[in-house]
Amino acid sequence: MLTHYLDKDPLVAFDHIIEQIKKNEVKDILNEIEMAKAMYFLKKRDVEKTITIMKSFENKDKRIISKVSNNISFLYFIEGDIANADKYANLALDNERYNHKALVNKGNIHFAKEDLIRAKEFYLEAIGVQADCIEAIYNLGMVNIQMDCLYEAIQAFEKLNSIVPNIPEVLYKIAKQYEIIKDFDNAIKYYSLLLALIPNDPILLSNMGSLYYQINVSIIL
Amino acid sequence: MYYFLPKDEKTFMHYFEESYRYFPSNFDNLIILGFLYFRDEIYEKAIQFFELASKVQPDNVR
Repeated sequence: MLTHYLDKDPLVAFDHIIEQIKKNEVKDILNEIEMAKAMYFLKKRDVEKTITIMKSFENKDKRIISKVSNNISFLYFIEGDIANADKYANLALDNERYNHKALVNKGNIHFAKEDLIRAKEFYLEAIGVQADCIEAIYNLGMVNIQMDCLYEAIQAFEKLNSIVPNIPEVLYKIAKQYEIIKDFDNAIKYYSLLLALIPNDPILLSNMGSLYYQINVSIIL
Repeated sequence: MYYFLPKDEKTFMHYFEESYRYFPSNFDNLIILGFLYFRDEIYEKAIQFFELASKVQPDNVR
């Protein structure tokens, strides 16, 4: 039945499904379908329509309000409207304090405002709510780099590497921080792991050469 | 002490040469290779790399 609608326009199909659900009072999946419709607009890069649909969720239960507010906040954030992003992030947290995604989002907003200490607090809180929240751990590492807390940054990235091993970006971050603090042993260890994943990267090869050179020079001296 | 330190102390040359193989117009790498060959008194090779570097960035006085 749906293929008849899908041939014309996915939007018509969405509206048809929503109408049928409302008629049959199967409201449990209504939110999911409306969210899918919002995501359809987002994929089409029609942010205004996405926000309009998401705002229609605002009068529903608290967890949904939190999720939706967080999504709206994220949309404003990627559009660079930090004030509105902050407003909706606060709304998301007011409705569900333990929404780790909202906590990460709020941390990102503080990071964009260059309030690094508050950003770090929110990332830590997100990790407290969900210990394996990889976005929070990665961002915590990044904020630690910005704050020159390199040992803490390494700790965060190493934790991330133990949760999701062998992600090139993470391995590079760890290696680079070890290189900065002149722990050449560990820097070479992580660069070697990275080279196993990306064997043809010229900058990486050059960095390895530079590290081995520095080790040789330090031994000679 | 350095667990990853190879027996051959010229390992760094291998990495710089490999880097050159994949990205021959990397100015910094060319300068490093030129300097390393110069230091080892292999002047023909040093000149070769410095010449290449000067072609990549003709206005760079380094």
